Amino acid sequence: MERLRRIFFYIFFLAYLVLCPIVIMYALGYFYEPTRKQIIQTGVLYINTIPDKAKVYVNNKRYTKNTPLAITGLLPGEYNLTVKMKNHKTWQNTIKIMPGTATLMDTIILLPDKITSPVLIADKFKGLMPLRNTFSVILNKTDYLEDYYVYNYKTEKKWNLLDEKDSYKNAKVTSIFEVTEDTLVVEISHENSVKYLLITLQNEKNKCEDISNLFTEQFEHLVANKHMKDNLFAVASDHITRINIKEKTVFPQLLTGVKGVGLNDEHLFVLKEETLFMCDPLLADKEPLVDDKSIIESIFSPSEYYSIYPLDDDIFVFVSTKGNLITNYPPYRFVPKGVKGIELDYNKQRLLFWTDKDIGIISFAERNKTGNIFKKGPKVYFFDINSSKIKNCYWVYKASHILVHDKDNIVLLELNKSSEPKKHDLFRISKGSSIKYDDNLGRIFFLNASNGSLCSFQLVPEIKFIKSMLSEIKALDNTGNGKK
Amino acid sequence: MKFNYSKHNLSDHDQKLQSVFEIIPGLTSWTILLGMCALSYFKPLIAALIMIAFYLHWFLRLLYLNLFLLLSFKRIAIENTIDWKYKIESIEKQQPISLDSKNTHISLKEKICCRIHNNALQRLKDENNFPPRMDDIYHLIIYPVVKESQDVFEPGIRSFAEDRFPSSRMVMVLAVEEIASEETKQGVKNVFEKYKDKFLAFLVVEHPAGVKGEAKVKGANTTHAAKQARRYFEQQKIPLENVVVSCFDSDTVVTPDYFSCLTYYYMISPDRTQCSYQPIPVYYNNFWDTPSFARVLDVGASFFQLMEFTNPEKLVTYSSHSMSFKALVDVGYWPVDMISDDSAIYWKAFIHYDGHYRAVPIYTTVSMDIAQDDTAIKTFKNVYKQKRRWAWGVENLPIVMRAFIKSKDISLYKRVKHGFKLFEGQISWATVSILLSIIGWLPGLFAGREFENSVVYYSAPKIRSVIFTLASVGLLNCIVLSIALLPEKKLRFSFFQKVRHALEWLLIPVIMIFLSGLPAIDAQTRMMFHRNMEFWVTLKKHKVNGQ
Repeated sequence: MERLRRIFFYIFFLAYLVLCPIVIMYALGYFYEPTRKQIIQTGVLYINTIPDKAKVYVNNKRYTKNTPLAITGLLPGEYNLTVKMKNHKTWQNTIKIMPGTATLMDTIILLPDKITSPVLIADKFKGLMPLRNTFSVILNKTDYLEDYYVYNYKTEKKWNLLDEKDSYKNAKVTSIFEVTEDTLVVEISHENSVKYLLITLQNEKNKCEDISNLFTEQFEHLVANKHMKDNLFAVASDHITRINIKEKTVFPQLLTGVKGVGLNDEHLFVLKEETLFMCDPLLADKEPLVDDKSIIESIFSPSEYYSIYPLDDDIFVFVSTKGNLITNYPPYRFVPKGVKGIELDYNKQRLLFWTDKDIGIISFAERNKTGNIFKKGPKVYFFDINSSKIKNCYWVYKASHILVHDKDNIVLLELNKSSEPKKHDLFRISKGSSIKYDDNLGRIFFLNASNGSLCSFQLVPEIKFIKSMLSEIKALDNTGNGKK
Repeated sequence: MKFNYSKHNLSDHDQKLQSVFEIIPGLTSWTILLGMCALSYFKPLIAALIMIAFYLHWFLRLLYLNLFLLLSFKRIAIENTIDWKYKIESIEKQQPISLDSKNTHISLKEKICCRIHNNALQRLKDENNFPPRMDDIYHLIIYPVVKESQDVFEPGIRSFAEDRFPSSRMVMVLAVEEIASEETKQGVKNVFEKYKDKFLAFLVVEHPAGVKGEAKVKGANTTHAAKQARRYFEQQKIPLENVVVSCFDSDTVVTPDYFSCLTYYYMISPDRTQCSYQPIPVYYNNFWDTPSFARVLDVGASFFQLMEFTNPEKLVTYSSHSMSFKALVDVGYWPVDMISDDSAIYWKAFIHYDGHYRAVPIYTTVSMDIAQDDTAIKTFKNVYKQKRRWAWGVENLPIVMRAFIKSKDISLYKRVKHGFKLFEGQISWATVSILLSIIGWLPGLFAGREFENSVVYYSAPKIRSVIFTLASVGLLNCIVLSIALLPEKKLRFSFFQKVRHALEWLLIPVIMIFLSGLPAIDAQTRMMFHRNMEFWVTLKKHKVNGQ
């Protein structure tokens, strides 16, 4: 028995010595290709679609398993990938498989053949204003305050923006400014004077307060968020006035010579002619970020006002009134003019910006934070989508797509790593109105082009952490062999 | 080699060595587990590749061990085809067994058994080291009792009395602790009265509490009893070379052939006075009365021993076993300050005889109780503590390694071989179940985008799935053998019970983590921080009238 055991031990030991490298090589993607009589490192193609359980064809070869699906053993090269699903448009693209890597096509959105948009409110509306960070939108039938409504799409309730008995109900709305998630400052024209109302959104009955006396002068920009401890910062010509809406106090011209303002959760950022600094909401504890006047002068235009967006610990974006887009990474001045809006993705790595005609992405992922003194800056990508007039853009579904509001058309741009983005026309909306896109719910809220009713369209399913994890695990179990 | 097999009263140098070796197993286990966690987080690709190599190693090892489990299982059947007494007569007559004289059909098993015996007999002849006659061989049975009730320890004594080997050549010693309860002591008295005439001698030895230099361990009790038994044999002028001592747990029940089998192996081994005799431990006394997790675990322990049987060069004694009484006396009895006296005595003898000591597998079973308590949760705690005590066998490692460093007479090959097996066995015990069940998933869980972009992220789960599927063959083998090993006559069980027992094996991945891996890490960590463990008497209960 001892001798037998020893023999078997050596057999199994040798088996391990032989099998282990083979299995490791297999794990790394190495296969023996009999036609070429050599060992080649293959790649993997991972496909996940919204909705899932779509059929997959690679070079017209159908795989028995549906999405999510990982196909291993693919020889390096280009493949024609087609994804089909009943009642949905066929999706097709050419993909490149690289040796030893997985090509991820995990954010394919399959659009339905026919887009159906259920009507949420059948009334005819003129305009829609999205409210950020809430489940609500502002709807209006006319420009008068009495015809303004709040609609919460979570609770599916609609109520008047202003109480019916309020004396300002006949006032004309000039602009609406979001202070926090549930607080608005509404500028109205009432009896030949400009008034400011503070409206606190509450379920079915908002609270309204006239705060006109706090605004001692016309302002050009209003800056605030929920972390600013009830403080608003009104920027007029080149100075900042702090208004505390809770205590009803005004601190006029606290700072002068202001060329730009921005804020994040904790700090206010102020750009002046010779410095850029950050401070607390009370404009104390100033900490300089740039103290060198020459740098400020070389980067920023003296005649423009800049909105400052501190997007991350080390990413600052400045957008001027003329649309000049600047970041704190070289070459600093990315777009000379025309930028209408910006949106940072959920990873805080890519900045989406748009002008009237173009869409661009600045990718901060490739930036060098440390190391060489000559820092590698972010990359910029421009997309020409033959647009008429881009009003707004939104990141969609893990920043894999961009939803574009182009004049009265809603378009979905599918971003591709290796080629130009694909454009999919979705639907038209009511002329002059806006849309609200909630990426967590994957829904678009808009006014119907023909009758102005409030409708919604489910673009992607609601993102739930557990569901997405399960689909990842399912795909790893759902592994097909693509070796030819 | 004269060596103080203890961790107490050491010189400064030895104390330092002891401390270092006490840290190594725990440190190694924690390094492996935490290291793999960290690697899974920081370098998931490398961690995944290491795990793949590990899965393959584990699978091949499982296959290898299962093969020998099967062989061992077959060996049990083979060894029991020819009556032990018949084989003993062959030794006494110095004549090989010939089956030709039989007119009936001779099975393959009988032929193999015959051949094994005749080869062993030939070796005996070649070494010219014939044993004493069977009539001159005596069995000393030491049966420690602490707080067990009579219904727990009486069945064992009854089995000794009813063994086919003449009980008139057995000396029974009930080793009772002074601190035992009155109920226990009364039970001892009752048993003494009932069986005192069944044996050559029946001694009840009370071990005093609080002896200086002793810990509250079973070894102290049995050593005290062995010393009393030695006096008896010396008074009776019975040579110690003719005495085989069996130290059983208080719930041990032997088969009717146990002592015949033991006598046979004692006689057939040329180096009989430098051997321990290890039977197969099974846990059938209360098999169906315990929760499934306890049952499956102890069957696994039996299987492990069966696998070890096929490698007698590295076999170490475990639980109830027997040895030459002369060897026991020569090495200074069981350690009185160690919990793992069953394995410690083997190492003590191995070192004492400069490596010329071995454990002989004897193909018969001894049945014990599965640890249990009134409720499943209490049983779980009971079992955990018991497994932790078993894992405390790691306390032998530092002492053995110190001895190996000092030894000049044990060959380097033996020292490396045994030292490595001792070390590797402890580390595997603590880490394998956790690596397989939890850590293997971590690279995928922690995977950042760069790992998701690699081929390994997708191929590793596929490889793992294939290996685990293939490994289920080994599991199936275990299930079949565990049912086949159930003694037909002793345990009555229905088809439903067989199916239930088969399905219980599916709990193995969970059971192994909580009742094997964790107790082992617990024990190693305690030793790493130089914390002692008190001997904890495993609670064993028998159902009486279904309660």
